[in-house]
Amino acid sequence: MTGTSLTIKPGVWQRLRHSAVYHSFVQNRVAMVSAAVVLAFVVASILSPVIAPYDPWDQTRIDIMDSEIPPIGSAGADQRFLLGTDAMGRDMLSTLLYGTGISIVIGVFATVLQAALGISIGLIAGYFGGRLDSFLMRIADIQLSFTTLMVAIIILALFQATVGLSFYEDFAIVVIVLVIGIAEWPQYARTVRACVLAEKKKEYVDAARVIGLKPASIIYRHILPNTFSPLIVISTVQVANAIITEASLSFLGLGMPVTKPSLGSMIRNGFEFIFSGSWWITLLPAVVLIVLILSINLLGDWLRDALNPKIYDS
Amino acid sequence: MFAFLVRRFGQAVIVMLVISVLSFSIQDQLGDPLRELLGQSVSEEIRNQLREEMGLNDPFLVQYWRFLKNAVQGDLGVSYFFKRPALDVILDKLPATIDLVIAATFWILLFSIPVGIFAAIKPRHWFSKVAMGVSILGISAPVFLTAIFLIYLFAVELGWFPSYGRGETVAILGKWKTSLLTLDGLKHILLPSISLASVILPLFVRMIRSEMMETLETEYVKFAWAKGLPKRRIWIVHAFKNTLLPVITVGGVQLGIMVAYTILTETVFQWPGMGFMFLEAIHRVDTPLIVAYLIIVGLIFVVTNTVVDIIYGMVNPMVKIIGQGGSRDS
Repeated sequence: MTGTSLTIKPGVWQRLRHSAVYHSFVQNRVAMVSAAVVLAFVVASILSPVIAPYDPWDQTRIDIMDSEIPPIGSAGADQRFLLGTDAMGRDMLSTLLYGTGISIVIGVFATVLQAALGISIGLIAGYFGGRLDSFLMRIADIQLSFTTLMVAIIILALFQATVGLSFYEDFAIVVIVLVIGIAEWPQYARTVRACVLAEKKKEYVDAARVIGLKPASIIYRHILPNTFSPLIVISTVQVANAIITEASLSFLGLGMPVTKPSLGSMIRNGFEFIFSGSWWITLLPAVVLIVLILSINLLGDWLRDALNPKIYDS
Repeated sequence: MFAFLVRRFGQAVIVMLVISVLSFSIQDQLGDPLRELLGQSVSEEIRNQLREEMGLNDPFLVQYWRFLKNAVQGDLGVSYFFKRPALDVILDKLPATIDLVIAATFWILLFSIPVGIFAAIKPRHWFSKVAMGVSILGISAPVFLTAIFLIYLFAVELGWFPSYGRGETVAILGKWKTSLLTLDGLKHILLPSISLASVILPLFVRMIRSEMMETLETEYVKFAWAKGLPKRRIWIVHAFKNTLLPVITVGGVQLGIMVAYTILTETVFQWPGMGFMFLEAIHRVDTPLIVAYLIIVGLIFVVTNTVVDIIYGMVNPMVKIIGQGGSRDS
C-alpha cells in the first residue's frame, strides 16, 4: 500500500484541485462550513494540552470550593473560569476540550477498526463467493440485527461488573473502541462485498488474472481502490455514529468514567444539576456534541452527492 | 417455500442457542449465587456441600443443559433483588416498554410517510428543504439529549407535561396494564414517545424520500405520465406502493432496534419499563435478571427479524427464495 501511495504523491494536490470533488466542495457553502467546524474541533482537541487553561484529569488541582461557577457574563461568574465550572469544580473549557478529544479519538479509532475488519471480510466474501460468502453474510445479517448500542451496553456492563473500578477507569477507552469497532463491521463488509461483486465482472480483473497475478494482489491492488468512494461516505457516517454511541454509553454510566469524561459523561454529570439551575454543565457539552455530529453528517451528505457512489445496501 | 421457512426457522433456533450459551456463561462469570442466598456468615464446609447439592460443581455443559431445560419451560431463575422469578419481573415491566414502542411507532407512521412522499415529489419546495434539514438535525441529536431537551422545555419551563413515570394505567387482558387509554397516561407518554421516535423518524423520512425518488425515475412511472394519468394516482398507486417493500423490511428491523433505544429513553424519563429495569439490574449485579433480559430481548430481535425475512420473501416476487444469501443484494 505504501508503495502505491508514494508513486501517486507528487501530483496529488494538482489532481485534487482539478477534480470534480474539489469544485463541488468550493461551491457548497454548507460543506465548507462543516469541514471548517470539524477541522476546528479536531485541531482544538489535539492542542488541548497546550491551550486548555487547566488540566481537568489532574485530581489534585481541582478545588471543590470552585464548583458550579457559571460562565462569564452571568451573575456570580469568576474571571478564572471562562465557561464556568462543573459540579466537581473543574474548569468547563478545559474539560470540554479534553472531552471533545476523547469523543473524536473513540469515533475515529472505532471506525478504523470497523473498516479494517469489514473491508477484509467483505473482500473475501465478495471475491471468493460460494458457501463462504453466504455464511459470512448471514453472520453479518445477524450481527446487524442486534444493534451496536445494545451489544455495547451489555458488554460494557459486564466488563464494569467483572473488573475493578480502577482498572475500568484506565481501560474504558480501549474497551469502548473495541466494542463499537467489532460490532459495526457488517456496514463495511456489505458495501465492499457488493462493490467487489460488481467490479469482479469487469475486464480489468480478468486481465489481471490472465497475466497470472495472485488473488490477494488482485483484491488489494486492483479491486480495493475501486471501492473507495462508497467507503469514504460510509466512514463519515460511521464516525458520527460511533461518537453518538459512545456518548449514549457514557450517558448511561457505562462509558468513559467521571475522572476522564467524554462529552457524554459530562452531560450525564450535569443532568442532575439541570433542574437546580446549573444549566451550563449540561448545555455546553450538549451543544458541542450536536454541532460536532451535525457537521460530520452534513459533510457526509455532501460527500454522498459529490462522489455519487452506488451505496448498494443501506 | 417450505424449505425456505424451515431454513429461516432453523437459523432462528441456532441464534437463540448462541444467545443462551452467551447468557449462561455470563451467569457463570458474574457473581456467586451462594453468596446471594446465604450471605457471608456460612462456613466453608456447608458452602461446599450446598455447592455440590445445587450442582454448581458440575461441568459447564451439564449446567448449561439444565439451564436450557429450565429456560425452555419458562424458568429463568429468581431475581436477587426482587426475590421473584426473573421472568415474572420482566413480564411486569414489558407492557410499559411496549406502550412506549407503540406510541413511538404511531408518530413515525403518522409523519414519515406524508413528509417522505412530499419531499420526493417536490424536492425543491421550501417545506422539503426544511424537512431534510430537520431530519439531519434529528439524526445528529443523540436520543438522550432530545429527551433532556423535551423535559427541560415542556416539563420544567412550561410545566405542560409530567417529566417522569407512567401515570394512570388501565388493565386490559388481566395483568396487562396500558397507559395509552387514560388521559393522564397519554400525557405521561407523550414526551418519552416523541424522544424515542426522534431517532428513527428522520431515518424513515430519508429512506421513503430516496426510495420514492428512485421509483419516480423508473420507466413504468414515465409511461404512466405519458398515458396522462392523474398526478395523485401516479404518486400514490404507481410510485408509493412500490416503495413500500424496502420500507417494510428496513422498518421491521428498525422496530427491533427501538428496543435498544428504550433503555436510553426510559432512563431519562424514569419510565418503569424493561430498559430502565435492565440498567438497574446491572447496577445491582442482579445476574438472573440480566440473563433473563438478554434472553427475552434476544427472542424479540430474532422473532422480528425472522418474521420480517419471511414476509419479505413472500411479498417480493423478485427474491429467489431457494438461493440463500444472495437474496438481499441488488
